Amino acid sequence: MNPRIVFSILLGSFGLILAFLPSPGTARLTENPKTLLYQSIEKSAYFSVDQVARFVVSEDSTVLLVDLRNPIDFKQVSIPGSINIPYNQLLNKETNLESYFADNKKRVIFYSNGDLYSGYALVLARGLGFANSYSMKGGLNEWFSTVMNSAFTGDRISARENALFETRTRAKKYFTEINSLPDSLKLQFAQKSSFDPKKLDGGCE
Amino acid sequence: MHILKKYQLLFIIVIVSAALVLFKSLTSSGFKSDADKWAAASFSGENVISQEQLKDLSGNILAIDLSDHGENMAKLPEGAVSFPPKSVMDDRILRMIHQHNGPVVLYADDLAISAKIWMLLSQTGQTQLYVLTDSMDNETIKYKFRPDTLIKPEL
Repeated sequence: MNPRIVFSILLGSFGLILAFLPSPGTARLTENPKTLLYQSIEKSAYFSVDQVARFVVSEDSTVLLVDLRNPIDFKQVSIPGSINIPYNQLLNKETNLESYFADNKKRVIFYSNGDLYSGYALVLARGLGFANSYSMKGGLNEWFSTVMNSAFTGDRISARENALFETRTRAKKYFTEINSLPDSLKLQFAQKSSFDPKKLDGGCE
Repeated sequence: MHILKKYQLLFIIVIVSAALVLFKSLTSSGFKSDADKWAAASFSGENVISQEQLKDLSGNILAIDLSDHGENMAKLPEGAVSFPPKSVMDDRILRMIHQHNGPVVLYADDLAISAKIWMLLSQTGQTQLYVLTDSMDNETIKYKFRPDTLIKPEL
């Protein structure tokens, strides 16, 4: 057979293979469905608002909070240190979701006003292989109800309750400070008040 | 035949690599490609319905109570079925859902559970899939933040 014909057959075959492949850039969940279901609904996939409040107060550098609401709502009020990825843009190529999960040690916590969008986002992220994704149970509504409206009533307080109340109060103060600032100063204030993790690591460059 | 024999190695390589590529890309999981497309209904919120909207839903409805012991069956229409949330992706149940001809409605006490299972089932290619909720304002902020105008940040 003429080598040119052989080459054409080869080329045609590879063309067919490419034609059957999903178009590049379209995301597809790759995890096993059963495993993904278990991982998504088990309690370890959630963080409570109190746990998130602790991360915020301690400015934990191993946590990245992702606000899934629209940019207008995000501008009005958000948990300090959050970044905004509107839920409907989560899988956009421009969002480049994998860049937020590049650091395996970083826990990415999704939140929205309630449990819907963070639930969807968690399944999508874990399904795409980002095992370090979590959601904040109850969303911002739970944050307001538990952290922002926290009040101590009663005669006695245990050490544990006291620690919890103190964390909530500090988180509330930080949240109020940041969100009371004009937009132009928010970022500046957050950068100023955030600590440098290298200082804690004890290393020098 | 002569040509086949002469280039049999070449043909085998092409066929095997084609089979491997197609197998890897089409059967790596039970999920469809283009996750964005299958999640689209959740972007607009058209996949979430209230009890009132459920009554208006036409067609043969399969209502699924996602609870361990059928605790929510009373909230669902007649003929509803109940499965523990963790069993939904079992082959038998998945087949039953996929073979159902009509709307499939998911209900759980915890909206986070029904939302997650909606996304999982949707990504397997299930259409006419809905999340039933008791209140439609889950994603509406219920509190108003009051800024502290006396704050003087140290910049």
